Amino acid sequence: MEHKSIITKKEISLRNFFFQWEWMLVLIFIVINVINSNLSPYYLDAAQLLDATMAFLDKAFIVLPMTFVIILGDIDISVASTVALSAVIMAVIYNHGVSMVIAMIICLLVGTVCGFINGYLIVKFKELSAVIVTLSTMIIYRGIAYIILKDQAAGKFPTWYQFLGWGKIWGIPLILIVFVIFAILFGLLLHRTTFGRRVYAMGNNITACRFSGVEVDKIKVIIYTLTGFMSAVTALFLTSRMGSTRPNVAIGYELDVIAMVVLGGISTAGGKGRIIGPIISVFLIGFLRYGLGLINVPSQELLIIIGLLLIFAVMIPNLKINTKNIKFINKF
Amino acid sequence: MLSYFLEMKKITKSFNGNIVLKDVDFFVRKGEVHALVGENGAGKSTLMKILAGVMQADSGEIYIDGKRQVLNNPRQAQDAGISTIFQDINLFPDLTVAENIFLQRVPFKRIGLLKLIDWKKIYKDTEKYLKYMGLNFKPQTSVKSLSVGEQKFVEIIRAMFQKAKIIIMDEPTTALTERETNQLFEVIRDVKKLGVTIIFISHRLDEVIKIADSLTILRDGEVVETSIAQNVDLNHIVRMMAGKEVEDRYPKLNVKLGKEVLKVEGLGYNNQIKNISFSLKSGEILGLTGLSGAGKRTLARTIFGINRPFEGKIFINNRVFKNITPDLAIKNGLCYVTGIVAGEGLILKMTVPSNITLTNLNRVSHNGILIRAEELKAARDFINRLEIKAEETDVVQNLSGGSQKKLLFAKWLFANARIMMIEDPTTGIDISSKVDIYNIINELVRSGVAIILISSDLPELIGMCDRIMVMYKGEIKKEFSRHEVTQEKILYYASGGESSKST
Amino acid sequence: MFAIERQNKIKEILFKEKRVDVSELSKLFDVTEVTIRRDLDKLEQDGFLIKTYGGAVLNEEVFKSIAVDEPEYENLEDKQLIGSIASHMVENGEAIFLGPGTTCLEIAKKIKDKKITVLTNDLLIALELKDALGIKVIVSGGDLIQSTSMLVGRFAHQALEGIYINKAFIGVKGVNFETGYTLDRYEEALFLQEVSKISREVIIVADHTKFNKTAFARLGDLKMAKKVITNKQIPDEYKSFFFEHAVKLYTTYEFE
Repeated sequence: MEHKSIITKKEISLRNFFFQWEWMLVLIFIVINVINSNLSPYYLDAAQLLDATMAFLDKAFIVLPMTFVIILGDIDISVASTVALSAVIMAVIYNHGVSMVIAMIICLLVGTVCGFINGYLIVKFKELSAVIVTLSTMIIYRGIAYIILKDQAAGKFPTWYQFLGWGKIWGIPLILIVFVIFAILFGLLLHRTTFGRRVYAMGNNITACRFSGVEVDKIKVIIYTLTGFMSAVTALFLTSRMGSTRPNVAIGYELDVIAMVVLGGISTAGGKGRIIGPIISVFLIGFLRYGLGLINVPSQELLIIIGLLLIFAVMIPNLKINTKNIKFINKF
Repeated sequence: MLSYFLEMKKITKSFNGNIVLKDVDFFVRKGEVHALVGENGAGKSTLMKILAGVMQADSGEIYIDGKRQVLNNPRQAQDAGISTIFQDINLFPDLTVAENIFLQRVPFKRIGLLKLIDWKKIYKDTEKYLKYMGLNFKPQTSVKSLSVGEQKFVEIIRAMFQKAKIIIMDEPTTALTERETNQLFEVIRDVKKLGVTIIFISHRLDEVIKIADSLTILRDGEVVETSIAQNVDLNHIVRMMAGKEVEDRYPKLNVKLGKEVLKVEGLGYNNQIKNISFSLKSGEILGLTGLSGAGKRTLARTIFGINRPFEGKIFINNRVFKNITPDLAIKNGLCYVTGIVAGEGLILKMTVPSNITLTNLNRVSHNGILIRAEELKAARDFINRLEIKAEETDVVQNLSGGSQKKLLFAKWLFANARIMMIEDPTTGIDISSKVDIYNIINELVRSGVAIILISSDLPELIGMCDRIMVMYKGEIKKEFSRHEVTQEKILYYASGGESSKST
Repeated sequence: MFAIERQNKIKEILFKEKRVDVSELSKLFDVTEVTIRRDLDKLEQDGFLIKTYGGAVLNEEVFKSIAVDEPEYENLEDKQLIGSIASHMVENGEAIFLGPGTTCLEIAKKIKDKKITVLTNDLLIALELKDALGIKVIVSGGDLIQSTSMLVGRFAHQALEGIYINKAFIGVKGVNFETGYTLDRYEEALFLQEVSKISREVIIVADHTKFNKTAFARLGDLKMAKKVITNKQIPDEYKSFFFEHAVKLYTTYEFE
């Protein structure tokens, strides 16, 4: 009897291995590239493709911490406003004569503080959901940005600052290099550390975590703070690419980011999924947009495709959830 | 001779061969408050479920007002005039008081061809009843803004409007304050005057004596006595409930006690527990019992730092704590093995090792980096040591109840707990796992761990503990040493008995 | 009914009746005699029974899974744990009996600091306690069984006259639902039965390897003991049995 059960267990995990959502994503990714290269002769050009990443990687920085937030079973919709506020403050104080390096540091600080405030409010007022709290701060942060800059643009940054968004090292875009480094760091944090383990545990059963002495509030605050920090990183790269900033910058980023995370197989119910999924979906959506742009498909149609993919992503894991969730968690 | 209004004759019921009710005769007069008392598992709720039509008896007959009744479902029971008020509130929190009361029988008025809800009548009638019961809230109030006690009254009014002739009240006072309880008793007396019969189920015997006209005592599925409430005292009821002492079968191990490791002085939390003081030595098993709602769970949670902030002082190993969190408690070797395994104890969808190590991840990590191999090794070690029937890769939800309980112990042993508050360690598990857990507890005290055993299983407490504290309404009413304790004595104090009347 | 269920039922009947009849079984289960014979074939292959004309008898060999005079130093660690649990049951001022065998020897090693009286019929145990100054050691006397340290026989029995024991610790060779507690030698069993008569409490000590085994001589049924000390690995059925029959079962766990 025992031997039998072991065998069936193995079969299940083997089947699961091929049915993992991440493989589906890779598959879709390949299909998109094949289609794209058939549609447009310009598509499959390595240098062109690398350049293309520069256009969509700015928001990808937020995808990484957002994965943590969603694994917790929470959400943060204030990220785009955080991007705007930290970008605007950076631009304004630079224009007031502060050195660019210090302005950049302050940009990161502003983002971090915004994130910390989110986290603090969420753990302090437990009766308010994360959606409500971050919805409020989303409006407030954006509002402050408007008050500061009054619907104008601010810019005239030093030329070296453009390197951040446009520069390349050995032909590889700087933004891609930075993203890869962050992705590895966040991946290690989630999958190899006690911190990551606690995050998964909290996403599964936060009460049991509290009763096991896990400092759940502290971990939540850290994650929201990280999200704020990474939003500021996005602000740095985005502003550099655009050359100037406005209070209405990065509008709609929060939805893009959340869509990428969910498409990456992170369950909004919390406690499930791996960081590789959202990373793949960043490139998937990026290249899809680039490829369709080459053949002049309007971006509205692109939105429909992304929407369909999302529904697919949310539906498929639910159809085979019984074997799938066990597989994911078996990793731990 | 007075005739009976409700007669349940020779009611017998068994589940999978276990006889729960044996030839029970339960007779109630019209317009009286009839209390039904007995220990947990005596068969009270089964009997009432049969009356409410939720369950069917294997044999026996039910008569109301001399007429034979067939109660195959709750609907039929309701039509027969039986209404049940359960322990938990059974209202729609977002609807108003009036809406809740009239939900099932809405009055209509006709205006031409239109059939409209007669809101005027609804509010007028509700208002009338609220006034009659001396309740000062409006029919338009939404239920969720009422206190638990007020919600109980709404349920009673609803039962009255459903033309109930018999109202079953299951532990109605559990969540009520002293004032609300008195108010409830006023209402019950008023309702009685209207000729409604009330069956009152409660563990709080002092209240039973206060409100009941007559009472029936059940023990092990049989009626041991039916009497007029005025004629009996608390001691008598307790004696009848407990019956004979059960044979001791618990493997208690006598261990030399060490020094004091935990002391609590004047502990209180949010009026749920008050002025609690006790101390605990290493190697000792201190029992903590009381009815549900007596505060034993709250006490454990307060000491563990889940309920904050508290009044009074907690000393762990002679270090005073004015404020404590679970994290701090664990760092000082104190843990709480919760009785709610799925909700608070284990993460069901994660594996055995993840659950074991969660309490002390630092032990299997280096600078915050998890070392998977060490974690697996630790898990394997605990699986072997506690004889848990599981593999390292198993997801916890697939394990048996007994294995899950053992896993709870494993995770606290992994955190090097030296003071363990263990709640309901053997409820709902098979006998062999039970025996295992008693022996695990033995081994714990042998290695100098101090234990607070929180349980409602009296034979278990008496069998395993060195001392037993009995709580009632948030206070410790009595402490017994192992040699003087009996089930009877515990029940007496747990039901609200006072020391002066003690035998 | 599936074949496997039927075969299990047949096994049950075999254990109870020691023999079965093909035609009776076929009536009982409402199947053909051919089917029953096939079942018996299967059970014979498994070694449960020996076929006879028209039926089968229980293969008694199955139950003789005992090893006489097994190397006693086996499972030493388990026995040491049992010994230390037993030591908690001994209170100063008591008179106890320690039966022959290594498990009881482990108890002796753990109680040296107590002030008690120890009666034993095992020479090694007596020797073990020779330096324990708080302990009064009484050796039963009697016939030494060769190649062991155990004393039995008439003189041993005489030692029991007119004394009473608080707790008798007895190590056994087999623990089994059907056969109860069993020992290698009937003289030993006879002597220990006498000891249990003069003891307030009989405490059986047996490591987990003794369970589901049967030795030569019967000491008594499982309920004769007030307490049983063993290891956690014993089959679950025994744990439930002892609990249900109010025999306190102590099992060993290692936490430190």
